[in-house]
Amino acid sequence: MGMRRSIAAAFAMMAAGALTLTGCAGSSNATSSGGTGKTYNIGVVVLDLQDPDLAHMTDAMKKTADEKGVKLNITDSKKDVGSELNQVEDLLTRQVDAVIMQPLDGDASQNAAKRVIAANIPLFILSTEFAEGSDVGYKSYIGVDDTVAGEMQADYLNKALPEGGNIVFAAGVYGASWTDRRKNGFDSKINKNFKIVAEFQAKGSRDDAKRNMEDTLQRFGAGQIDAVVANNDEMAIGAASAIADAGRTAEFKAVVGVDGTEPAMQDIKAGTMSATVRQDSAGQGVKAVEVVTDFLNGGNVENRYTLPFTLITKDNLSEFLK
Amino acid sequence: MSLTMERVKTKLGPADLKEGMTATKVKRFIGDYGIIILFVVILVFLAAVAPNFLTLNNIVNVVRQSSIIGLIALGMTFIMITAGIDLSVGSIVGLAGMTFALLAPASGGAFWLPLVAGLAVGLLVGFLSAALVVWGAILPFLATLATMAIARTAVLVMTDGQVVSGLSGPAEWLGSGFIGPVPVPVIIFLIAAIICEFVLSRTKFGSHVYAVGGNEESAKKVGISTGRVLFTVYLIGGVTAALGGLVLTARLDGAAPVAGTGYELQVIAAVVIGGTSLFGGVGTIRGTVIGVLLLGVVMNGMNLMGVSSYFQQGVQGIILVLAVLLNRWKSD
Repeated sequence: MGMRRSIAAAFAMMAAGALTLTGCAGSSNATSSGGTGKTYNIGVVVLDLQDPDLAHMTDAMKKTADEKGVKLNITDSKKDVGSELNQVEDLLTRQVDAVIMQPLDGDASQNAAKRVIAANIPLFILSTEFAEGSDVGYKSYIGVDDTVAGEMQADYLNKALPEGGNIVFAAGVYGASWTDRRKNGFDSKINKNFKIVAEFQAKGSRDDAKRNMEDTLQRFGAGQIDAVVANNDEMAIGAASAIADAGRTAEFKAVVGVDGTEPAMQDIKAGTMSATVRQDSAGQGVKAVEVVTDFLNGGNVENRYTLPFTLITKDNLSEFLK
Repeated sequence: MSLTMERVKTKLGPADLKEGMTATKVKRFIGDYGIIILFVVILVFLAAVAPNFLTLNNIVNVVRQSSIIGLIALGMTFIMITAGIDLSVGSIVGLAGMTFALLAPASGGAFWLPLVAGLAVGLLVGFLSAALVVWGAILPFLATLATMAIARTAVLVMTDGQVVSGLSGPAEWLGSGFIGPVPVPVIIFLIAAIICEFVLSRTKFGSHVYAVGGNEESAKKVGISTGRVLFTVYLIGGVTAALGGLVLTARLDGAAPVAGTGYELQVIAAVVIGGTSLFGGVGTIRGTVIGVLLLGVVMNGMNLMGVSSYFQQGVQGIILVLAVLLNRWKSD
């Protein structure tokens, strides 16, 4: 009985692994239309389609592709380097005309990228970058520099609190390039009179950030923390909500996030958050589809297209909040 | 403890029989109360080293944080006692929470409507798992792996992967309100725990749950409708997970499509720490409540001490191993 159970369990584990790894290679429209001209097929590898901001981005990409008359095969790495590689290999097997890739990890994703280049398919990088000094021969990078987002958070705090203060830092996922770059950018620009008194990893989630912030609020009494800095908006919202529940909103001089999502802007309006750094994800996606289409039609493309970040505070909120 | 072990090992003449019996008693005592002893030791340790741990404020905080995992763990205890498992609970949290968040603004005055809809969705996923397990005769692990994926897909499709935020009003009370000094989520958890404890330990259905998990064939022979018992436990699991999802959504004033991801593992860990066997037939609601609080207290204590996030999961793992070893030693 015990033996049979463990065999069954082993099979179950394997099935679980298979299910998560192979995932859905969800294609929008795979078949290329015959007839007059060739319709270009562009493979897209997004790092996590469950992320609201990225879902928004892929929607915008689909729209642009329809307008430009190209087809997108959108696949999801599900935040796993193994399934990222699988998705890339599937796209190569399907002989797409170009690949737009959003690398998951600055180092580990290079392997998948090099497969694309070895197959002689033009590669474009979207939104996240490879580690500095890497030699992946992509055609062009379309996105933002996450380091700048962190720098802008630091600049904002330096200005808002010239006298410095104590910071609680909500980090995303250690090792992920968006977290590391934003954090490094912040560390490099923040004034010396600031001190990070507590730091926790909340994986970009509102839930995790709220729980950790509640504990942190127990640890530090009134006047011991001046600001919260989060690697993304969902975590800033979670922290702000913990602070509001504890009735301590007035103690905090700044709660800062990154992304510029709608709920974050609502929090800035309500006064529980003070600023966010907006990255135009939809704009990046649109730009990427445009650049790739240009390239496939024989146009020249630049090596780098960087879209700017915008700091949103109470002062300019009305420009962005619908 | 080592002393009693030695006594058990040295088997001598009948003169020592009495000694051996005391040893068995001590062992049974440690077996029965081991997890409580571990819990108390951890509490004393944290009270000594973690600043602000033993304040009323923080105790309220820990219990409130634990109440969501706790709610889900109640249903999971029923399922695991039947030798089953439910991997779909995290997805149910997401699905029920999202249903609630989507309906909350539109329902106007009828505050109960989105709540009932959320619970109904949990019941539906529970029904699907139960149907696969009972009618389809599929291993619970695989059946609920499937419903886990299906329910998560449903959440993503519902909102196209977007966060729904801003519930306000009564929802805020559900997540962040108080009745006297006690947070509302804690009251919900306590009431649910008392009901589950009663059902499992005092009713005929409860004894049937143990019978099915202990030995399904014998249970059938004595006339228990094992299919009906199994069906019911997955429905209970669906409802308690949905309840957890509703409280979570209210607490966060919004629902993310990924909400509840990974909860199934935390819940299973808490239930196992509480003394429920993965092979069925053994377990209590009391134990589960302690398992949930133990994990919650440890996470909170590490945050109060400023322990890096790197180590936190590892410590949870060590506690899980200790609890499993304790349970095995008890049943040897």
